[in-house]
Amino acid sequence: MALWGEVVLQVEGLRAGYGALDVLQGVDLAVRGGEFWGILGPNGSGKTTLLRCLAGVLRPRAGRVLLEGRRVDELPRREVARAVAVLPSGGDGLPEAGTFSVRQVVALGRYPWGEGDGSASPAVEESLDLLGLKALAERPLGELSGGERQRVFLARALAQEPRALLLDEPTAHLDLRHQVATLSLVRRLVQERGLAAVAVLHDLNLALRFCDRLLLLRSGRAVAAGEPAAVLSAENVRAVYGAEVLVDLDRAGRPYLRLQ
Amino acid sequence: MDGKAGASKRRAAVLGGLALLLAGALLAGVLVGPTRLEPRQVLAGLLARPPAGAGAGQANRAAPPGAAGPEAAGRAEAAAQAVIVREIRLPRVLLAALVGMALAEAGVALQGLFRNPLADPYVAGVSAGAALGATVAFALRGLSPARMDLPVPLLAFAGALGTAELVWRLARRGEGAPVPLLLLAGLAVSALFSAAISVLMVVGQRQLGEVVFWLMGGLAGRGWSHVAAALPAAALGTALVAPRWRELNLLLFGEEEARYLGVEVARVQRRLQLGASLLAAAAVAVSGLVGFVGLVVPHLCRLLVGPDHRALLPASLLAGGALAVLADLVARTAFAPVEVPLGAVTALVGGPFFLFLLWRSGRGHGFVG
Repeated sequence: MALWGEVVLQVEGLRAGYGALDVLQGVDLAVRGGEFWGILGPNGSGKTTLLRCLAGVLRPRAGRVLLEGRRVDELPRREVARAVAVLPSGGDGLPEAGTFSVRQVVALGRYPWGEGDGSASPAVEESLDLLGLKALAERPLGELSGGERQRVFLARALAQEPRALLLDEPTAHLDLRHQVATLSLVRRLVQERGLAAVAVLHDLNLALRFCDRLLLLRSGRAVAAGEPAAVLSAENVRAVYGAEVLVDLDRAGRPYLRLQ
Repeated sequence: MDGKAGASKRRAAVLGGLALLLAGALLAGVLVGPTRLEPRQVLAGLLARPPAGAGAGQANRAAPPGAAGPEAAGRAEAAAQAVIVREIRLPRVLLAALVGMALAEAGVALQGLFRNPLADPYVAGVSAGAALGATVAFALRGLSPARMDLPVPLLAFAGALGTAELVWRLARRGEGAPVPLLLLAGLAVSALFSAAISVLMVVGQRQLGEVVFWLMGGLAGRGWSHVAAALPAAALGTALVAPRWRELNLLLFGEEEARYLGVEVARVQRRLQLGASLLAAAAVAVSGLVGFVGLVVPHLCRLLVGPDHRALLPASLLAGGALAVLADLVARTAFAPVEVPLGAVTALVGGPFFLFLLWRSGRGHGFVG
């Protein structure tokens, strides 16, 4: 696990994209152990592209992404996967993937550590436990609900014993209760274990509620980064989303946004 | 924990059962044939020490004309039986097992490579590529399918690898190859290559009948030279594919996810392509176009052992071997003394199975996220 406050992932002047299009046009970011970053922005602003660069599967066209000081896109994938785990938004799994048991899927998280099929690893049992999946461990993945499946993939990510966790719209297919449960768990891991977390989020209030830092993107550039309340000011939200919002305080004194 | 132990025990039982099935099929293949032999005679044939430099030619010399007496005649008959067992049945049965194993393993590798359950060397056109390569050797070098020489498997491998790359480039969209594109690419490549084969045969003018019969897929008249040609390629191909069971499992979840979990996807895909091409070339060089084994066997094995490639790969090897030996047994006994091409037997079984899978995939037998 990472040390609190140490930079795990560093992004410097990052430009990246697909084909003729530069989706990211110069982004800087430093993610430290014990920080939970939320990446916000309208569709097409480059959130997922940034996440793919952080995971080292998309090569920067300019600038660089460093994992603990080394270029992440030049490291062997196994080495990256021992440090960085990704919770993908809806996968591209084949029907056969749905016939693996929950335990088998979570054990795949041990692949980067080169431990056979991983089923003997204590990290697998611990992850199953942490996400309340013990009772479902022998069930086929395909029989689970969307929320349960999300927990399985999160358990698989944790079984990698990563120092950074990247989440692509982790709340997209979940009901409110599961959204809160997922983000609460990530927050707990960040605080208790010094994990560095970066989540692409759509819900601005969930981001305000759970993240330590926010990055607001528009057309591949950072509009604002840092303290959540400062990033999601009424002006910034108007400028980026074209929506009028009021910033209120809840009973605990935390800011939240209301549509005007 | 119970479930985990139970599953691995069940897998071991299934693999044991398949190994017994293969052993039984091999035994049946050696015991049954146009010449009726008692099991005792087969055993004697297998165990008898051959005369120095044994072979069909020497067997006749063992009973020279004029060597009178019932004792000599008995010895001659035993020697002839030994030749049937050792030079005809045994290599053929082993070759059938080898072909079935290679095709089944190639099927698993191609299904993982294309992320498509309908991939198989025959369907994807890789077998046609291997056949074209082998035909070049037959037609232009004057070689014969009846006796394997090194250029045949080498050119078959070149054809298989080139075709695997071509179909990969034609059919790949996003992650893997969608069913319609893979089938169209395989079909187009197969049609083109079969035309090229026809031209080659006419131009080459050599061994025409033999090549035509070889193309239909069969093991009639195959001997130890074929085993010697197929074994190294099949073993090398298996050695490339089998250790990649973890990566094959991860690829089921998507190429991007596999990358996230630490798989060097492009490198693994290159290996699978190379391994599948070696395996298909090994099978095609010695047996022509034997279709659908690589499709049917992995699917049946998934029903038996589940999707985990650690069990699926060895199960497919064993089941593929057994199925091909039994299919070859049917091919040479069903209409004896006439032999049906082995490719026709496997297609009669595998064709409808393929159509069933196609029908099911057309009904959106969906993806899971």
